[in-house]
Amino acid sequence: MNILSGTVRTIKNAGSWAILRVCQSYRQPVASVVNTHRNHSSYNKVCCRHSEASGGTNTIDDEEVALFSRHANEWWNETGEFAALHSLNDLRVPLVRDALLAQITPSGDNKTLKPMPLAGFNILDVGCGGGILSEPLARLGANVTGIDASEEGIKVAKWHKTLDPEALSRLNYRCAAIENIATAEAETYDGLVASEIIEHVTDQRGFVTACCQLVKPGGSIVFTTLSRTYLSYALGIVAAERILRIVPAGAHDWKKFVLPDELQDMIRENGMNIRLVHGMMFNPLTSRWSWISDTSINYAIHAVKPGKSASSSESSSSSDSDSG
Amino acid sequence: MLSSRLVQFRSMCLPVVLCSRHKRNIHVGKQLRCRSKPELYDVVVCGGGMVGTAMAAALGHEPMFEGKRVLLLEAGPKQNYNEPLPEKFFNRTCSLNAGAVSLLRSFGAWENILNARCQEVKRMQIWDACSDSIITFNHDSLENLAYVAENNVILAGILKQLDAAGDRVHVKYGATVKDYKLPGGQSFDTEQSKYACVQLESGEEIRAKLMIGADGFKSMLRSAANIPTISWNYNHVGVVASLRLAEPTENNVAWQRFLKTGPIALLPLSNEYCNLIWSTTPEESKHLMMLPAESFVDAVNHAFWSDEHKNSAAQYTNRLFDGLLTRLGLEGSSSQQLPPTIIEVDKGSRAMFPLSLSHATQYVRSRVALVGDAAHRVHPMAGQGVNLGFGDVALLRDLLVSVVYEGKDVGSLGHLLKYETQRQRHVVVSMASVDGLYRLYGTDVTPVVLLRSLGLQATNALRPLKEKMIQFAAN
Ligand SMILES: Cc1cc2nc3c(=O)[nH]c(=O)nc-3n(C[C@H](O)[C@H](O)[C@H](O)COP(=O)(O)OP(=O)(O)OC[C@H]3O[C@@H](n4cnc5c(N)ncnc54)[C@H](O)[C@@H]3O)c2cc1C
Repeated sequence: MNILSGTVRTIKNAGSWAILRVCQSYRQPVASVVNTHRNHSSYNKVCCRHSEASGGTNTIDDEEVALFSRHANEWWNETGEFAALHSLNDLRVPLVRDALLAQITPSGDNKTLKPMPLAGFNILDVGCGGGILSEPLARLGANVTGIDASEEGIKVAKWHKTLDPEALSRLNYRCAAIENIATAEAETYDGLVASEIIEHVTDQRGFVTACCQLVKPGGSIVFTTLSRTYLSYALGIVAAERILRIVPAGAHDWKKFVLPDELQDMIRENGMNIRLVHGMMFNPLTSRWSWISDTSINYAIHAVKPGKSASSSESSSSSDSDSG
Repeated sequence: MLSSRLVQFRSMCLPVVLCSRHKRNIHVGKQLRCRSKPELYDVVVCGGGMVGTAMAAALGHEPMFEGKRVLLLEAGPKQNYNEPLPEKFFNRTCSLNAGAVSLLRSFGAWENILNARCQEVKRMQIWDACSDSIITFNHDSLENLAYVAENNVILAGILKQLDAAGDRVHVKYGATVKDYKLPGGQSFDTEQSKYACVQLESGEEIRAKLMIGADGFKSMLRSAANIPTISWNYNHVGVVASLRLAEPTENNVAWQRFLKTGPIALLPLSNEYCNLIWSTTPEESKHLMMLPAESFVDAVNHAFWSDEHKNSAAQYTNRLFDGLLTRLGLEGSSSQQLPPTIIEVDKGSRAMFPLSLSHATQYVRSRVALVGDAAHRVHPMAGQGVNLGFGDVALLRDLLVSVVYEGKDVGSLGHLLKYETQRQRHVVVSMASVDGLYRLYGTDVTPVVLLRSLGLQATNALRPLKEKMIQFAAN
């Protein structure tokens, strides 16, 4: 959700640095997050600068603390600005879960519910933001990597993970652009999710190619996004942003919205098979999403890379051993 | 505003500062003691009555909850279910409907109860002291109307399954809750403030992603969550006792008669024993408690057999109405079976309880859900009390299972609100009908008596309506 302008982001970044530093000296949990990111060089620099400037004392910059806390709250208040993204989990988590489970039991007849159904699956959540979708996927047992180009989103995500460290031990976040990891991590993931992100991307063709590159043969990609129709303009921009304020204003650029057919073509160009295209509808009165056949506003696409999934036997055996 | 938030933030951090310093810098053996971080459970159930124990056992036997951490807290000692049942019946009993039985069966407790002691109810006869009108519910189908079982037997059956769940449910007996700290209000969650926290008398603190209040009608969790209740006192008292029949019969009928002072009911316990639940005025109940055993037995028999309250106008109209129904081809008052005669009251089995109705206006809050009497307490007349509680457990369990399968945090409000909406829809209706029935029968003003006796007769004649009622009572 790379949606904030550069200047705003810089200020917010400064805020997050400070809070992490403060937390480092006060609280064990967040400090451990910091430790896991020692290798992030620019991060270390900022930290050092801070501790030199403050001479090792614990002066808290009120404004910075407030900024981070406001930003964290924005992401994680289930009834706040991102309420619609929180409730979208009702649709997209089962969609991703069942898409991945279909890779091991294609007939879908394996109805016995398991507590960690996704154990053994590697998932990349592209544009993870504050981690709203990454967390439930990790709770289902998957090894989830969340990436986002926005550093403050990643910081919120890392901080929020520390609130439930045990259940989320298989979750990792990185600030990265997908283009930069596509080659190095090609065919690494059993599943890739790009949810409510492609409508913010400038080079959409390149983005889809990178997504397809990252999944293993037999692996799935799942997109959810907005369609470029007059209806989506009216509902997505005018109503959602300006009137109902379900989504922060300026969050969307309608011209970047992709029609389902356009997105399907881009996916097929990369040699993937489309499995499902489905419409989604948000009811602002109940704050709930439901599946609909009409794809003219919000929709989801599931596609599979041809070839035998190298992971399928692996993941089923490792999930067996987990539950056993 | 900003600075007060910070103060909050700082104070929330402070205890952990001590901890981490302690860990890092202070050598073992130094005096500085730190309280370790309270343990975090997925679900903590507060209150180990029938409903709370069923909640914990149901989650403990749920495959989707494998690997989840569940804890049950109960102030009292553990009941020992291994001892053989005493020959004498316990004086507290419940009638369990089909919904309750299916919940108990789902985690294996029903088998235990069947094997221990319970009695099938195949027929229920309700009649009115002021007229001849009568309503009977037969259950010829495989689904039996209800089972009557002693509270202790039900609890023991559930406890056995709780133990069978082994490590999957932790249980603390003698654990009285002193205080709750519930999330909300903070602008910035921390690992400490995000979850619900319970403090025990022992000083121990425990955190939960979801705190379930099954702590009875005076629920402390409910007050800590600032959930208001709507309640009123019936100014009525329930008198219970175990009664022996004059002669053994195939005792499978539940009897309930509406007296001027309130309903009196006999629930079958065995071929020889019945349980009495007599709801009456505080004055009469005191009198009943003090009566010598023989006079008490007479009072019970009199209450079931006496004709002294018959209202002649109601009886006359009744007969006319009966005739009308017959002409319309509907079956009128079904043949009234005669209630059994009581010969003896078990020594020490007489007890009384104040009766009240209360309903929590909300069943949930962020990280809090109420079940059983903590959420709703009804007049025991319709035998709905524990059945409603078991209904709560079944729905909440099902919702939590789907929540886990969607990778959600078990304590977040979204799905809890679903629980509240679905349960309140059911509970409010049944509370209103129990209360309405109670009020309808709490009078002997002629028009009301007429109305209700005609109502009773019509219900008896109109099969579909009656079946609806049975269905509703069974869910
Ligand atoms: C006279 C009478 C007759 C009834 N007859 C019927 C009937 O025929 N059919 C029927 O279905 N229902 C009947 N009921 C109602 C039924 O008994 C209740 O609905 C049922 O017992 C409620 O169970 P519960 O587990 O919700 O609450 P309770 O049984 O009240 O259990 C609450 C538990 O929480 C524990 N607790 C409370 N506070 C704390 C604390 N601070 N810390 C730790 N633990 C705590 C208590 O020790 C207790 O074990 C009757 C009730 C009465 C009074």
